[in-house]
Formats: sequence, structure tokens, C-alpha cells
Amino acid sequence: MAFVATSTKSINVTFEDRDGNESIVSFFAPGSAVTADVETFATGTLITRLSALTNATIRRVTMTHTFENDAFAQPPEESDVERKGVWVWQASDRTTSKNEIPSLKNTLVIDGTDTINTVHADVVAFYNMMVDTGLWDVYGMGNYRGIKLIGTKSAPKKIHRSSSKG
Amino acid sequence: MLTAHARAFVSIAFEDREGNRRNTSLTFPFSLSEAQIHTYMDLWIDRIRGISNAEIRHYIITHTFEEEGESTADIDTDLYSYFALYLSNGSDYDCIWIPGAKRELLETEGQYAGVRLDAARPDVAAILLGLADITAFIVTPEGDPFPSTFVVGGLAV
Repeated sequence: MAFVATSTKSINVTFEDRDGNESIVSFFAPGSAVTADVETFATGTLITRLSALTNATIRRVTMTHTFENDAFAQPPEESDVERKGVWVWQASDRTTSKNEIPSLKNTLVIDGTDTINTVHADVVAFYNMMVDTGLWDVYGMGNYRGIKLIGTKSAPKKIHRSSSKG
Repeated sequence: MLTAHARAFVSIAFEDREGNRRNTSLTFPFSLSEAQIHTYMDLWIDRIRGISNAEIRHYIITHTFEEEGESTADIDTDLYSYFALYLSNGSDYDCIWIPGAKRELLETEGQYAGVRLDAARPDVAAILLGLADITAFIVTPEGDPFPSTFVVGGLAV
């Protein structure tokens, strides 16, 4: 399995009027273009040229690039994205954030409860990765504010919203 | 001035047997290279396979730049007033839409007064020729080269 870049990167430009209303226009860059070059183009040349034709404020420029699974395999029958494992993380500044992992394996849930088995090897491996200091030092994956995750605030739970599988 | 958000955002799409999709997300320092994000994602997906039996369909990396502060748009800005700049490559055409059109760039006389860009004006022509910097970089949604000749008037950029 590999994740392969799509043929284009999207550049979405948000125009804003005096009252805060927004309108978004999309442009596309080659998927092979270097991200830094796309950023330089989008925040420089593109908005300069567009600004000559609009009297709106260019409020936001968002660049997205999609990477598709090139070996997508049919998920097992018991898969259900509405059955989620919910981890509430505590960051080093005491704030919390949440990850909901779709289609949590039923075998990881303690029977008779909605509590995830935190001593199961696969759960431990996931937890350790999320709080790993070595990985944090290299990749900086933290909460949405950029703060390192140090543990969970509460026991992870399974939730299950209504879905085609009930 | 546009300022980079502090974090790059990665949205991961999970898909179950019925084709239903739900996302979860991670954030990274904005400055982290795309290659490094991929390396981390490979590790993360490997761990996720232990706890989820959905398949991951794709993930999307998003970088955002934002203008802070109050809007500086003109009081008469109309986002529903667009410039539609149609460009052709001879066999196909595509369009650049620009909302909040500057009305002062439109023709003031004749049947297209108030409707069409006044390309006969040197300043307007210069703006249009400047779009070559855009069309040389962007591509169509399908990834093909973007057309570079205006459908109306035939001005090549």
C-alpha cells in the first residue's frame, strides 16, 4: 500500500467583502510542483494579479494536496466508520484535544462496556506513538495548537452513532 | 499581509465496507516538509491498522495563509459581481472567475458599457497581460496546461 499524489494541488482563494461575506475561487497547480513553489506563487504572484482586478480583500489562501491509497482493499464486513474509538488527549499545557478513530475494532472493546482495552498491544502501540517524545522532536505532531500530547485525560471509549448497520 | 497558520492540517478519510466515509485529523508544524509528513503518516497508518478495520481511502495535507485584521475591501464591493475570464487553447477553453470585480475597469461606452473589461485601455491591457504569470503556472482541474488566449478579443497572455 502506498499513498500516491493526485495530479493536481488545489489553491483555494477566499475573497471577502466589507461585511465579511466570503466567496471562494479554486485554482490548480501541477501535483508534481514543489509545495514551497506553490506557496510562493499563491501568496505572491497569484494574489498580486488577482488584486488588480478585484476590490475585495483576499482573506485566505489554502493549499491542499490529496494522497490516494493506490492499493485500496475492500474493508471487512464488520467495518463501520460510525463505530469510533475516542481518545481525549491531555497536552503539556493541560489543555485537551480529541481524536475519533473510525471503525474501531470490536475486539479492542472490553465486553459489557464501551471502554477500550488500554493494555491491548495494538492500543498501547497507538498510544505510545501519539505521546512519543522522540517522534515529537522530529515531527511535532501535537494538538491543534501545536502542544505536545502527554497522555489521555480519561479512558478511551467506543461510541457508536446510528449508521446503515444500526 | 498573508500570514501562515501555525499548523499544517492533515485530514484522513476512513472508508467502511458500505463505502461510508469519516475523517479524523492531525496537525503538524507548518514548516514541516511534505516528505516528513509522509514519513510520519506511514508510521501513523501502520499503528492505525492495529485498531481500525476500515481502509484509509486518502489523506489531504492543507496549508493555510490568512490575512489578519479587519477587511479592507471597498465599501461597494460586490462578491456577486464577477469577472469571467475565458481562455482558450484553440480546441478547449477554461475560465478564471474573479469575484468583487472592479467596475472602474469596465468599458464605459457602447453596447458593452459596464459589462466588459476595457482591454483597449493600456492599464487594463497591462493587467490582463499580467495574467500570463498565472496561466503559466496553473493547470486545469484535470492537470492539463491552462489555456492562454482570451476567447473574447483573442488577447494572448
